Amino acid sequence: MTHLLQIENLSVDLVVHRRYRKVLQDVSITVEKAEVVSLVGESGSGKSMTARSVLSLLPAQGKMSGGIAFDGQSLIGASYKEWQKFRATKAAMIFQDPRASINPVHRIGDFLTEALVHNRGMDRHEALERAATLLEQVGIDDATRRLRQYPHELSGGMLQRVMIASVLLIEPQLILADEPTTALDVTTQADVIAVLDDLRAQRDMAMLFITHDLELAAAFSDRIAVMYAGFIVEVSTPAQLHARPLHPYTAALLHSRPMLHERTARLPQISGRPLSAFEAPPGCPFQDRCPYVQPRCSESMPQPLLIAGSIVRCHRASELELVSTVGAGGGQTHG
Amino acid sequence: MSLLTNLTNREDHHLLRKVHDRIGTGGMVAGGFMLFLIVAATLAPLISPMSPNAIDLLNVSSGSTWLHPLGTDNLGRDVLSRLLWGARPSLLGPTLVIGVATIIAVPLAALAGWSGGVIDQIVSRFLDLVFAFPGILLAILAVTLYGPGLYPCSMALALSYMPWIARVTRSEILRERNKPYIKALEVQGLSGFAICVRHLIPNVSATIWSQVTISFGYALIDLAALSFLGLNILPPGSDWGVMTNNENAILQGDLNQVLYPCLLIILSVTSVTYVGKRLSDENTRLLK
Amino acid sequence: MVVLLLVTSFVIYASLFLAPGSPDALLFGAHTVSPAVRAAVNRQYHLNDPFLQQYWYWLTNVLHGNFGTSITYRTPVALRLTAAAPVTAFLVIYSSILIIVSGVALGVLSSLRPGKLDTFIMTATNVGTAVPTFVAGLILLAFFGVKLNWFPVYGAGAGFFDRLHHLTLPAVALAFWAVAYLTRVTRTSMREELQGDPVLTARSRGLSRRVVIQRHAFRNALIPVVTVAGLQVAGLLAGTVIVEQVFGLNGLGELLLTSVQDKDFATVQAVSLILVAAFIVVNTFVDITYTMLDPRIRLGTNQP
Repeated sequence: MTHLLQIENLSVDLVVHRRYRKVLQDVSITVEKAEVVSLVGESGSGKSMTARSVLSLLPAQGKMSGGIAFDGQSLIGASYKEWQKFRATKAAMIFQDPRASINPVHRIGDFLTEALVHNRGMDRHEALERAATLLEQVGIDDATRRLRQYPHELSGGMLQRVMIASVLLIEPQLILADEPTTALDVTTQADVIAVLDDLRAQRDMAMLFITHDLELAAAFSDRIAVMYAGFIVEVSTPAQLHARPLHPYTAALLHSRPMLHERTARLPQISGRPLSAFEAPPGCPFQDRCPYVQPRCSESMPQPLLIAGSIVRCHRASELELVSTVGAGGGQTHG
Repeated sequence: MSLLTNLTNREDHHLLRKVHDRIGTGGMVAGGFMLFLIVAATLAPLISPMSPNAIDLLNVSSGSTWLHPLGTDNLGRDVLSRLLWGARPSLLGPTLVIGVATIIAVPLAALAGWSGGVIDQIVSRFLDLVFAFPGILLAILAVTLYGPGLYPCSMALALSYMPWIARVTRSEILRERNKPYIKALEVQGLSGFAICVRHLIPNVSATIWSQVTISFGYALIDLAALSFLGLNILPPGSDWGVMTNNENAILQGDLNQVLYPCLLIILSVTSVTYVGKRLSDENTRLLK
Repeated sequence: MVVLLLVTSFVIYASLFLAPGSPDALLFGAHTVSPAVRAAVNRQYHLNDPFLQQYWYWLTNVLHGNFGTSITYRTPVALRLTAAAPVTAFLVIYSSILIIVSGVALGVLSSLRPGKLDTFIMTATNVGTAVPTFVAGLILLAFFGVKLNWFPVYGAGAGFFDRLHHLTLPAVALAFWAVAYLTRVTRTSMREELQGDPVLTARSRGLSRRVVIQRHAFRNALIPVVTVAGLQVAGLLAGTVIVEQVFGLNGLGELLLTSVQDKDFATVQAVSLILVAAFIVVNTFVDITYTMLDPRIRLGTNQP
């Protein structure tokens, strides 16, 4: 069976302070047609780089190895032109901060239509008409006026809707959404996500959704991949993740979120600080913060295991009985 | 090479290391070259082989000889001696210009940046006004009034360089003054003057220094140009600019005597601006 | 802008009153004149009127194109100005075109070709920014004028093409420093934009390299470049004094310099005023261009 997107053993090295540093290690994940997969992790865990790798948009001098295939076709070793065509037709990206990502010197209309006009040779007026229709669909009224405005004249929430519209306009099969709501006000976040997910589902588009918010991911993903220090440590469905997290890091993440219906004296924290891939010690990168650490954890990185339909990379995954809430288990985390 | 290692092995090892950390090897070379020029200029009376104004009409426009290592000019004067003596006004002039400019600019910028409001508006408009007069033009006006010479030219240039230093300092002070530690000092009841003198200005001094260094190079260029125009140093006195004003030599294809002062100007300005840019790069890096 | 022009004109006019000695002593210099002549001159220059009134007379005259009479040459200053201005204007425009075209082109090239070419251009411009205008002039003169004899070494030429030929070396000399500087600014600005978010967005949409560079990197990088280029062009006006001296051109700069040597105050005032006014006008023009390039600082736009 061919997956829509298949990433296999992807490793990425970037130049940081004139030295190559590993930011992604051995990342494997698939996205099926019309499926939503979330990549969850702390900043520096490599989730954004994974998305950028899919479009081959690494920073200068970035090195990428491993396999990326789209619809059964390998993209590794593709020429600049082939990548360009892939970006123009198959996959599109929504960036975190629309205020920074949308070029401030061009009008909204130009931003929305440039891909259609320059890549597909569509007539500008026709493109503008399409853009106007989509703007209304993403919840921006007075579309014709908005098309003539500049980005600084719109609010952050509206700009992110514009960004969503621009992605939908080119009708990709895969949307890469890189923390699309992080830069927005809390009140508009939910609206924007709802619009994005609705319109995506209507069009049968798949989405790789990147976020640091496990709850948000759980709300509308089909599967969730948890990343830590450049590795994917667990892939599971939201329901299963809640019921039985397999990796100690996932469990710790679930513990450290606030709950509406329960009052805790103090939220448990994960001791230590998040690591980037290149800072991680040999073996499992989570060993220094893990309450269940054993000597073998520093010897080798655990290979992916398939347990109850989930994939997990932990030496002790089959023996640990982790739970997702504080009250039931306790003791897993240091205060 | 051995000189360099000797230097680094000496007691002031730490100072050199610190300087090296800030401006790099290139900056050290550039700074060393400037130091060499300053020493040479200071020692000019002792080390120059002959008098810079000794005319020898029997030996004009000669090439390099043992007696005249860099040849003679079209009046038979020794080019090397003239370069050494000329280094004095060529380096002293910009020092004067930038010194005066900084002494006016920094307090003005501190006043504007600290007080804000109307005072800031007035100072900024004043700077805009001075900015509208190109330095060379101001110097020409000064020469019209007071006659040619180093002082009218330097003072006019000092006035025209002042806004450059003041603007940079002001914006830096504005940025710094909003930081919490300044607020804390204010709450502790320190006077604005004391905060400016003891904290604000010292903390933005890195930026001031880099701007001062870069301006020094430009002032050197402007003063040399004014000398070339016959408005700054007047013959028989001489700086590098005066030495280049020798159209006859050029039209006769005799470039030696003009090329050396040109080269010295370019090299010293490159060195100074390089150090200045390194300093300012270092500042931006430290800010990040 | 009008306010700034007024203030600068006042400063220029007033500056001559800062001179040591009384204004009429300045006007007459070393000449001894009879009391009758002195009185006539005083009347002509309104020297007995209050200072502000004198300034007012001068200003209204200037606005009517009457810059007074040159005492040394006994000709109207305006006549001397109109004779000199075309050469300077030609020189400045020629030089500006050279600066903007080659500075921007070299900067863009340098930013798009990291490696040897970039290093070479950066080293060259590093030294280039340290070359004073008159040194550049002298070297060009010596090499292309005297040695190779490609270009004339003196005079401004007559007719468009002859003038172009005559003014090429002066224009290059005048542009030299500014080109080096503008190249550096353009390169820095381009590199920043090339690594910026809008370019990443554009690339993510599969736009061609040409479109990404033109519409996003270059278009945005232009904003600081225009500001710097404007300052450069405005600064050229002062540089003409030097270049005209090197190449023996009878332009405004040369006129200013000889007037200074002749102590011809009316002419000095007039030329200074024109140079400063041109500086202010160019700067205002740049401000307008700047607001056209950057919609964020455009005034009067309606908010959402």
